[in-house]
Amino acid sequence: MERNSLSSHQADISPVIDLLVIQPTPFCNLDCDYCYLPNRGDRRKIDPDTLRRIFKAVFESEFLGRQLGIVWHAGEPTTMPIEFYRTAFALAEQSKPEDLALTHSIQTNAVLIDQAWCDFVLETGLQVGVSVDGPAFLHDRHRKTRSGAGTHARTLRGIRRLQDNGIDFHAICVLTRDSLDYPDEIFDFFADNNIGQIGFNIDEIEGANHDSTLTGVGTDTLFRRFLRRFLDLLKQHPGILSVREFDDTMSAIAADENAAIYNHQVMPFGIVSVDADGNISTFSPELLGQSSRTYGDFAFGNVHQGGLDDVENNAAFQKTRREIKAGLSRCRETCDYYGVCGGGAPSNKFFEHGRFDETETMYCRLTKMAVTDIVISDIEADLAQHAAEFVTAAGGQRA
Amino acid sequence: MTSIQPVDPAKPTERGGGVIVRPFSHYAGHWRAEQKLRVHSGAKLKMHGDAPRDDWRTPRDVELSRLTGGDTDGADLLVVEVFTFPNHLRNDSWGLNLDSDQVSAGSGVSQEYRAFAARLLEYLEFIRVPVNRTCTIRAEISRPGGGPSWTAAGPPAGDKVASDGRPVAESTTIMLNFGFEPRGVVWANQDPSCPWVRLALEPGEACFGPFRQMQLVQDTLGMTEPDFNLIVEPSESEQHANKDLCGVCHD
Ligand code: SF4
Repeated sequence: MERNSLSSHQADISPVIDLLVIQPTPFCNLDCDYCYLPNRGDRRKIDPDTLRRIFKAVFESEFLGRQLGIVWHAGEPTTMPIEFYRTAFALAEQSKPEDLALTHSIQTNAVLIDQAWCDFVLETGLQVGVSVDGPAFLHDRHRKTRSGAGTHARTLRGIRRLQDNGIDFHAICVLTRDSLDYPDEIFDFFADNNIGQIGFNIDEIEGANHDSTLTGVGTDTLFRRFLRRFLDLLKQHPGILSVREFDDTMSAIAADENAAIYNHQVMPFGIVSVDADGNISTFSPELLGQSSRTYGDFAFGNVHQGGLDDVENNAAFQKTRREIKAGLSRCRETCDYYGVCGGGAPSNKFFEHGRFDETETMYCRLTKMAVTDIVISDIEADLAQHAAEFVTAAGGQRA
Repeated sequence: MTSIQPVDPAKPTERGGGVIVRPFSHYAGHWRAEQKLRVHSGAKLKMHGDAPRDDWRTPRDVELSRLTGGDTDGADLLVVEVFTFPNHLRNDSWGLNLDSDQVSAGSGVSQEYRAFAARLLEYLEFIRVPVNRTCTIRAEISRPGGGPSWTAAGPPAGDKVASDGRPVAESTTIMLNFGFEPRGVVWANQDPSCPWVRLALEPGEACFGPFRQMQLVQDTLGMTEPDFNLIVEPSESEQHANKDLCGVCHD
């Protein structure tokens, strides 16, 4: 791949908040073994005053654009009562600028999805993503209750509920070392259950998850083999399943080479994350709530004390911003994949290297480099085949 | 004429007929040998060869341990490995018009069947089941309990040659249960004093073992749907080229 020739530096683009991540509670009803959340047993809940202050801080910010997505995340959102969201959505609607287009979304394990939740989703247009790792024998190895029981059957029940109510959703499937041997079975699971849109996350070294099943020798090769096989299955069965990683990479490859790839994780305030106590962070949402003396636990401000305005003056924020920018420059100068990646996820650089001014991570090797290589080799193989068919056809015509 | 051979149930894996059945590295599910394996207590000698009696039973612990390879000296054993295959291949097989593929091996196989066979081989290659350098993929459909009512057979496109890195076996038979119900695969023991062994293959399960040593005795386990199996074997040319495989040229 040609080294990219992007001219603009993303970190210098004037900030626009396009994602607000709110943690209604750190609590999760499950205990998946690869989870990054450190306090998932903590039953704290955000209080109405904190919520009001979050909306005020964000909606009055000079960085607010014309659209904003609110993700209720960093704990299992459905452990909060539906009434909480009804009140929160109404509050957001009342306090937002008139011309701001607002969407709400959750990423859920679907275990608690019942008819009342489906009614609420239909009533409000809440966007839903479900975390499910494919068939039971893969899902249940990692996605467990606190007593160690598998959760696949209950997740599937929630999925059926959504489907019976005609609710569209996407799925996030976390790939562990176990998954890499079973692309066909993962494909089957999503195809057989009529789940048409999926994204692959990986078992990352992140937060409370200090190790990954994907760090072993030879995993890179196995990961590529998995992707290659999965892409072949998608092509053999067109129209059944779309995979975010392939689609996004195709779009990035097809984009004008001078267009700056948009990576809101490296832009200050591109993503604003606020925890249940009102602590504010930015850049990768996974940073919030992680302990780090150097970076002040990534709580760069608090909605109860000054809000977003204070964040820019926060020393830990400034250090983080500087380092992320340095890492981005190094990525841009040294990495052939920058044009499709945009400098990766700062959280992975931090959790793998302990700092942000770094470049390559296991995360980017698998989710950016490997995916890009597979997609490009597929495009090249298709082109070669078309060329060969053209030559054969032309030869036939001459004869 | 039928007679019952005396059987020593403590010798199921002795030289001359020992069978080990175990899950292959690619097995999507929970392997439970005690549910999948049965032994019988004697062979019927019939005019046209032996047949197992119908009194299949769960192996005793010592038998189970031997049958699954837990207690063997590794001598001259027939190792059978069980794997699973995905639903999309089964779905694809339902789209084949097998009636029109009812041809003798190697001739006149439809494009659809060739494409399907190639996809099956890709899968076997991915999960690293050892496949013959060139092979024939035979579809067998039969009434429950009956012999094959007809067979479609054909090499995959271009007599697919093993690619680099693909595990190649000189002599493997692979049997895949494409039907809707479990079916039994039985290994007749060459030593008449040893019980025969039956493996229950669920729909979507398959097994492989050395060519010609696997005796795929029909056993529908009392089910009612037609059996639909695919059998992958060395192609005829490969059999003729290899004296260990060919029972005709090298006799
Ligand atoms: S994060 Fe990784 S893939 Fe992305 S630009 Fe940096 S080094 Fe390249």
